[in-house]
Amino acid sequence: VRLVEVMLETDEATSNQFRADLSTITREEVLVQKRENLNGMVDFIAILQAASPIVVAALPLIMERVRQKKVRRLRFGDFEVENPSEDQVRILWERYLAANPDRKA
Amino acid sequence: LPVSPRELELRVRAALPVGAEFARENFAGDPLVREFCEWAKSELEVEAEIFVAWACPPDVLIVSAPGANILIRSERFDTLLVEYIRLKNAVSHQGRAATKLLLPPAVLRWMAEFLLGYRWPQGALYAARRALDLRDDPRPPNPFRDEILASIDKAQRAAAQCFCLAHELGHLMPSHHDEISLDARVDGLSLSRYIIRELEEAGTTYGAEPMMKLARDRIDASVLLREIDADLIALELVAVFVTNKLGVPAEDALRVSLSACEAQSFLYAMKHACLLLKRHSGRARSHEEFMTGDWISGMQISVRAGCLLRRAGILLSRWRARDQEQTAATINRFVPVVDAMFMESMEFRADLQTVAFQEAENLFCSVPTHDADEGRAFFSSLLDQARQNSDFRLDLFYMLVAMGFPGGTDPLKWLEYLFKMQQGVR
Repeated sequence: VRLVEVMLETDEATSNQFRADLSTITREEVLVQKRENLNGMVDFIAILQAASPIVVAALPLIMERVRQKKVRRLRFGDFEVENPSEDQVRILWERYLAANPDRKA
Repeated sequence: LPVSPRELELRVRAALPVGAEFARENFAGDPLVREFCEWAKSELEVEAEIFVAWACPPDVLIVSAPGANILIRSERFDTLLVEYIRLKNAVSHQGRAATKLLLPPAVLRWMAEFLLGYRWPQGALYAARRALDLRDDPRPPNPFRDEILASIDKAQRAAAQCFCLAHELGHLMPSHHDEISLDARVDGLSLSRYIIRELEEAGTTYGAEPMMKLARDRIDASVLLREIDADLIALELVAVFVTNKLGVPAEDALRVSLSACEAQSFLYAMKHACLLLKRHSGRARSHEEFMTGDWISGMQISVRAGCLLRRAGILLSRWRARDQEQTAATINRFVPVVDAMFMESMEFRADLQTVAFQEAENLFCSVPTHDADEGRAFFSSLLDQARQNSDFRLDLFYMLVAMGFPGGTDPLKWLEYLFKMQQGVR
């Protein structure tokens, strides 16, 4: 069992819904933070820090948002993908699990 | 509850792209900027933890969540702003004849760096190669932060370094607009009025009405209003700080503040164009989407600039004619002063935008997608050129150094790695 950092970059409504849905299933707390830069890009980032079995339980919720094309960026630890497809999320998760947890980014 | 240092780190890491380095900002070498941040926070009555990031695209960010606001500076963004100001000064000293010599290589070099930051290696290599080919000066631009910062006067430097930070702190202030649409008014003028004026001046091919409709469909008025609010807060904070701290007359303080905002706007517009290029380049039927996205981004910058100039006139009137009633007539006396500031560099901005547009178009048409066979051949050919040309390699190395990558980074290996990672997830 590993502690995994999951980051989901999306819009405000999707982040909040993800937080609510995940809390119902796993009781894990998801932090949603707003990010603004100089030219009017506003993103919401949902952050979950949880043990890998809990992340596995959260994967269907992530997939659902991916299918809706709501996810701009997804990260497991230091493995990241932009505008992912469902296949890419699966590959990303497998690669994350297969990697040495102590490797450098 | 206060947020622990570990939690703060997690939040910063989540806000930055993978591979970015960051640390809590200690303002080493920048005591004035530290002082500005402390003063600005107390003026606005906001709190923010300040971090600095490097080895990633230069971005200044504010991240807000329960328990903490985090302002993330970019080590590289300050020097990019200074490079812009130096370029502007060089063109104004050497005359318009120098424009063709100086602007294209500078623009291409910035593009190359942004594209490297966005991890689009074939675009970055192509832009870097063109920058080298067009550069008249055999020496690569100086990548060392302290030397670059020291190369412009103190007031200009302070404004350049502080404006972006003030803008982000301004985002922590609540919005006060009753109406959230392009018909919302800022200092008495609606945003749509600025757009119409811009369309009239540009003389659009398709007619103003469809372009106005496009603007209404695609511009998020709530986001634009928040950006305008943050710009206006930054203008006043920076001008007051520069005046009080450096003993600069109000007019000059406004001039350097507007100049800082101009530099910031151009670089961000170009950075955004580079992001669009990465998304759309070489893909059939995506040219229109690229052009539309770029136009929308440029229009928002114009509206923001219009609001900023209007506010600069109001501020100047308030400061210079403080014993008089602030009527339209009083304010209008100062409008020509601010207009003159804007006009000073109009030719430079127009030339720079033309070059940026032409080079973006050229990149769009010249760089194939990575997943096509021609994409691989295109990348390999450019990489071979870099292997055989030490100036090209040195340029790439200096770009990485300027962005804050470790000195031991081999630029060619890094580019190869990025190309490989494009194939799937990274």
